[in-house]
Amino acid sequence: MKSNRWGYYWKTLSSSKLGLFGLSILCLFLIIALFAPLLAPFNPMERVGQPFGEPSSTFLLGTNDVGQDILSELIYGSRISLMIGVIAALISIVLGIIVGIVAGYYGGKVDNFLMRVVDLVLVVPFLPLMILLAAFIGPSFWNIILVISLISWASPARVIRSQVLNLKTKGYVEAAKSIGTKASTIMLKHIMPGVIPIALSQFVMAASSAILIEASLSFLGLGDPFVKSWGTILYYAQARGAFLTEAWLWWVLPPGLLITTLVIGFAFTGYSLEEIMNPRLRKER
Amino acid sequence: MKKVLISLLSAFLIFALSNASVQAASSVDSLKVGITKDENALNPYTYVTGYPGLDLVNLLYDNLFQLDENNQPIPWLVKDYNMSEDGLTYSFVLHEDVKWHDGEPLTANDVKFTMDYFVKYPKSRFTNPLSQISSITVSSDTEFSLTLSKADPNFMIQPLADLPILPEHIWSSITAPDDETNNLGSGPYKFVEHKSGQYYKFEANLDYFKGEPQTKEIIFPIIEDTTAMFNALQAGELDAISASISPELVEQFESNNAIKVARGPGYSTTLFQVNAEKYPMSETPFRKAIDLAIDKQYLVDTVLLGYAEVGSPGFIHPSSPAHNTELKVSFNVDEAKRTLADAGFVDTNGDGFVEGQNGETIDLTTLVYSGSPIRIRTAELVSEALNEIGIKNQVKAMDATTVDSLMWPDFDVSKGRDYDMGLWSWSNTMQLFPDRMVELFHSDPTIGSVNIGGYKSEKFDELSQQLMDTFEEEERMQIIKDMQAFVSEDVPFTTLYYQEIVNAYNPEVFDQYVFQVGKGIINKMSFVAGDWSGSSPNVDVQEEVVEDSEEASIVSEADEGGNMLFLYILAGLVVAFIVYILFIRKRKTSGTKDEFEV
Amino acid sequence: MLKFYVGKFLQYFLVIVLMLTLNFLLPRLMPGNPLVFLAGEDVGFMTSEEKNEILDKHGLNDSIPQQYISYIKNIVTGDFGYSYQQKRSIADLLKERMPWTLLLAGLGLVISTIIGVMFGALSAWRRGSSTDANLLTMFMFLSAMPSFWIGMILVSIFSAQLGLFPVFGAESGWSNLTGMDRFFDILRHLVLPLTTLVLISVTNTFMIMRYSMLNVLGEDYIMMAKAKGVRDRVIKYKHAMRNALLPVATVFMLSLGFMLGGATVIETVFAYPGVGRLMFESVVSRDYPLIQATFLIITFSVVIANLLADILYPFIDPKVGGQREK
Repeated sequence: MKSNRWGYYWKTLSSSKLGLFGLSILCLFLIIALFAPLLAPFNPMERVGQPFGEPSSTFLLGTNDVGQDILSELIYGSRISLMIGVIAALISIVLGIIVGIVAGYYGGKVDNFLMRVVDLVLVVPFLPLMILLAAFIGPSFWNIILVISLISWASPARVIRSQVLNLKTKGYVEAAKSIGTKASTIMLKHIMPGVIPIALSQFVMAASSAILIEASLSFLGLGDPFVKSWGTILYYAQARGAFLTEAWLWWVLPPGLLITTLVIGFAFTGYSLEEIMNPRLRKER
Repeated sequence: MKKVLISLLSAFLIFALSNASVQAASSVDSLKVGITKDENALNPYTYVTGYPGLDLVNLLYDNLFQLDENNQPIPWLVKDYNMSEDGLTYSFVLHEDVKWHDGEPLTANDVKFTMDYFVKYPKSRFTNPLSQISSITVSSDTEFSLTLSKADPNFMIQPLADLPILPEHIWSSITAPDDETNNLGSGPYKFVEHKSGQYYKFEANLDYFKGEPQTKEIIFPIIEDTTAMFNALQAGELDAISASISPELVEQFESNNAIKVARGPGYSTTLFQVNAEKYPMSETPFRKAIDLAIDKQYLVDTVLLGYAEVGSPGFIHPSSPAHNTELKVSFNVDEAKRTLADAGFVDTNGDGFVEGQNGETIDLTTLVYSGSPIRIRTAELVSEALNEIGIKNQVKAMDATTVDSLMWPDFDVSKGRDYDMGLWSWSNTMQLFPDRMVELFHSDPTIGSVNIGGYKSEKFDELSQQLMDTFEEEERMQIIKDMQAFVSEDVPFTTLYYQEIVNAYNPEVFDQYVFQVGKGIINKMSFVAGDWSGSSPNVDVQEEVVEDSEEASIVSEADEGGNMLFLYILAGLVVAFIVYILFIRKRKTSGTKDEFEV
Repeated sequence: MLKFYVGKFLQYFLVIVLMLTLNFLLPRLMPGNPLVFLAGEDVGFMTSEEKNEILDKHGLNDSIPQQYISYIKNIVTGDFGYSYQQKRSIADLLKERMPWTLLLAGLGLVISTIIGVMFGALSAWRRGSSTDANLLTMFMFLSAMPSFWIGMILVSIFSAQLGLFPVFGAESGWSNLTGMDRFFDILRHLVLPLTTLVLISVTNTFMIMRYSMLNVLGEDYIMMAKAKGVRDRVIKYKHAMRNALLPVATVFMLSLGFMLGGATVIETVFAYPGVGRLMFESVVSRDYPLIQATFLIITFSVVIANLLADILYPFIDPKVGGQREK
């Protein structure tokens, strides 16, 4: 029954062109990130050429302001950007699942309280708060992740809660309750599996927004300048005048395009997952 | 048309020759100079930063003296002056025809009032230098004298060439100067308006006692983002910018014929600061090894693309008259390693990094402002060089205020410090007054007020005492040179480089800028006609300028934007537009005749 | 019904109090010292008495609870205090900056809602067709691009290279334009930032509209209408779109927060003198009162928008009103 359901999901996902496309983008980036040392022509930390070099046969995308190879920076950057996206999304989803399940399962005062907290987080204008927090905690890889996940758990929590409310009325949950199964067991064994698919789509969405947020924060100079994410590359490009010279063609366009592509990969995948969860949206076949 | 222009210009030149200090009419209607910061109300109490804030204040107000191109004081509001042999009494005669912007005359009473006012309501930059004045005597509307308690060779520079004179009839009723927004002065420009975060607008003071300023108005649009600022200059929306162009763009701007680049030595000094109170930085050989390990020339070439002067080991800029020319920049990795080893810093546990003399682990942190990519890059390279000789360290970027609070808590060196090493820089005043070396290195916090490394040396303190007791200019220079020699041996910090000032402007709009060494083109001399350089006569420069701007205008028409592809697109669009307009007009005119065509 | 409103009011009140407190605490926990912005660059040459005097004058030597009380007192009386960095009354500053942000965010909101609704409805109506797929792909692409990146590329191409639009600012205020000239001047300055803002925010509305339209189209009454042979056009505009607009109407208000946030980055890129940029500047310069005021004003606007949405929603949608009353 269970494997059947996953098989069904997979079938729907693979029948959606968008979903397949998104998944293949993600796989491609995963491969690039895993094999970065093999793919990158240089060590991105090493100053291998003249600063501000134009593209040449050795440096396909030129060199940056201290003579590091931009192509290698971008290839290694996929590791950082993927990591930020995945870790931040993971933290916020785990938080979201906990809050969502607890609120949905217990209902009443607990639910009321938790949902007020969620509302609170949702109401706060999110980028300004992010800037405030990032400026406060200081620039580092983990702080950025922390800040992103602190802000973005609320929306998944709400979605998961409504799913839990749905599940609660299902026969097997009621049955488990009536025979006096421990609440924690019910939540873990009976509700959790039903929540996972929707959490997955939320996770993918959260990852895509985490990547965008990291880029924005880095661009505003609130990221860690020593971590070579795509956002940081753009920060240096803009700080060292690449927008004013021809260099924008090889220093500004590529990282932006990579961010867009990775985000779109996540977004397409997430969108298709969501379509599966909500059959009403699925096209008739 | 061209003939007329040339004859007009020659007439103008002849006029300029005959009367170098007063120029005829304002030649430029409006000038737009981009600035990077909102400086709020522009009076001596409320401006925010020295650059561009105080520069704007100085266009609205006048000083008794003015620093010329080479930062030597020349009389300004003062027509004539006299200094007694012992340097304790100065007597001055002011120009008679100086008026405030509201038409009131500026008199010696205003000067006395200003000096008293700044003592009553302190603003440290202006108040502190006034402390040596023991009495001010006004003998007539234009005559007054000052008596000092102690002779000071810098007295003419600060306060006399630094203190803006305030109008007594306005400020006498002001009791909260820090909240004051009035900015009525006597300077070449009058304040018109300020839109927060947008712009300042000045108009020419037509009655200015040194002649009508060269532009009818100046607008200072505020653009915080330097990229946007450079963009605006390139797009022709600005006529000049007050910010220095970043190194990577100099070539681009130089090759752009519509823009002229004015380059010159900058006095702001970037250095590698160490906490000399903390082991192992407290050991002279350790600091010496750090100095030897850093290739300053490589930093200048890589990070600043050559647009900087390599740091002198004695801190003082090579173009300063106080510079000790005997000092040589040192860089030698092997010697650095040897210095470490000789002093007992060796790698005992085989991790590739040296340990302290008693086997202590050494793992240091280098602080740097996170907001400045050039500094971050410099810090990265320095850190790498140190790792190279076995000094383990990593760079940590934090925002400016955090770094300040660690390296210079509460901006008070007596409150200690909490860091290992850091990238630091001092603004240009440190170079303008070479005797500030005392403040940089003296062990007593009340004297060494900016000794942020907590450096202590009896020898240096002795030299400082000597300097403070000496009044003879030549002797003082010698002591300052000795100090540099001492500092280059004892290395309280490593001077890395002095970044050049690179200003850019559109010569077609205005081309009379005067480049003040260490400061740049936005200064009073740029806008008040006159001869501010000792060596090259002003007239020659003007002649050159005329040719240049003509040439530039021709070329710039063919090279707008600097990109051929965009030029073609633009031309295509223009042609299409013209054709379209013509077509529409034709249709309109013909439409009345042949209605069926429509 | 009344209970519902009271609850909502209480909830938002709590949000505001919490934000006020957070707002008060965060800047004070931040490392660093505002002295340099109070005293300017001369701070290194000041005596400690002078420094203390300045801190005293600005109330920074008081105990934290004391500072908190005076802070709340000031906010309630509408006195946002005095900006250290700009040395001006913050209320004045906000008065100058707010209209620009409202103009930018307001127009952005309206335009992106219109575009999003139109295309969202179209996309849902043509569900499964290539139009739907193309629209969906296009809008998702838009939302995947970093906003500052779009902005900077637009500036590079349209302002720096082609010179079609100004590079910075909200108007050429110094040229004393009036009437239509001023209007067009402001418009010219607005084009690029507005385009960027719309580009990054339109997807949100599009997705919600599409989703809600799909839901409505699945409802029985639409099916019935279809079965009865009502013309497609009538179904689409009269029945489906009208009902589908409900969620969009609530989101319209909620988007305000997003808009104001997005405006921060965009205002920075385009040197647009709005509140968002003011906030960023104030964080960078550690201007305590200004950070608080800008963050507060943004929070206030968002909370009020939310409250409005909550109050209005039952009126727009009778179904919800009934549900909530129980």
